[in-house]
Amino acid sequence: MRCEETRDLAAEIALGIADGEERAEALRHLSTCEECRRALEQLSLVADELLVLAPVEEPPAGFESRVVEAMGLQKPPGRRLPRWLSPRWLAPRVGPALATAAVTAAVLVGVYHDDHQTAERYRGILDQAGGQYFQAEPLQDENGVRSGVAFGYEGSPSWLLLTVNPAHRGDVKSAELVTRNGRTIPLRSFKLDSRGSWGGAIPVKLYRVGSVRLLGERPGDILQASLR
Amino acid sequence: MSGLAAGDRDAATAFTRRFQARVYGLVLTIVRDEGTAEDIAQETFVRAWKHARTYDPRRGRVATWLLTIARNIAIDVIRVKSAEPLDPDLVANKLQQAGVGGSPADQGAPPDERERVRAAIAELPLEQRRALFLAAYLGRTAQEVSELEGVPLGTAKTRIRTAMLRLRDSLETKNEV
Repeated sequence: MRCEETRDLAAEIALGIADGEERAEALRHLSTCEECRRALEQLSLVADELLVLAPVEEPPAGFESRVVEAMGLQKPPGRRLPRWLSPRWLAPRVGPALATAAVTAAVLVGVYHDDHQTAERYRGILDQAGGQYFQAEPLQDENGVRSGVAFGYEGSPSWLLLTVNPAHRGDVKSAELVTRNGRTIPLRSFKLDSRGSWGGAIPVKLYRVGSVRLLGERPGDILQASLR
Repeated sequence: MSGLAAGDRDAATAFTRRFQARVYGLVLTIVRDEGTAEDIAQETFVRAWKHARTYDPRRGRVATWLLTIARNIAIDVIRVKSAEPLDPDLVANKLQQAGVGGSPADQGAPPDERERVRAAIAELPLEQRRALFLAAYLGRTAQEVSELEGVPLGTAKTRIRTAMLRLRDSLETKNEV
């Protein structure tokens, strides 16, 4: 990446919204270019200033005591774990994100390290999440056109992350699993978000799933990923 | 900060009291739910405490360091919750209201500095302001801004970049006066 491209991307980097790959390229350039580094620093200051504008509002009474308890600096009298941090709430929601991160990490490791190290890292990631394997397969329409990706994770629980390309998002209404022995299991919590993704725990082991099907209103509206 | 890093309870309490209104205010602006905002604000201080030793004063003020942590957690939470995208105009209104009067609990940037930033933003064209708020407060990528605003990706990128450059120029100009 050259100076001009780096400067074009500097605002997004300063705001923390740059795409990972582009950001990595820009950072490589920044490590050797003092002028671009200075330009980014100026924009980072602007990004900092923006946060300073936020309204100031006192939290509920006793907030600082709860914070100090959470730090473990005071004996906690029955501290409430934030609901969104509890494993039960978080696991099915962040699982897919972890899978994506792990798959991405495995790919990146593959680029920069030899196969042995890649395997080591991959095993380590799976150990962390108590899993067996990750899988990523294309979602295709009836003509075989790629329309998204199904990421799968075999573990306890097993889960799926489905992403659908913009052109197909409007057609998808529901989803189901078809097991290897032909049983159909509807994914009742399935609902694509505004970015065309859904993720969640599935009620069977991933290795028992033969395919994932996303269904539309008409019989022909099917996107399918084979997990065999 | 040194007291916080050392695990001093009184220092941690004082640190939290000093910045809690600023952190909670930012998070509430982003997530719009008091319970969730309190959880996130709490997590912000816990993370700050855990990473206090790595804080480098040369890289920015404590307030902005803390607010960046808070913003990032809040953005992660609204993404995990798949919350409806917040209208950037609502954020703009809240920021304008925040400018009226000020608050004794404001321990962040000096008031004149905040006013300079706010005035510079008010001078931006509406579409640039919306793109900037979506990116800065809601963590939306250029691609997402493009989809939310119904404009090509290149246009979204230009709006974000131009807004940031104009803001930078305005601040530099006003700093020189």
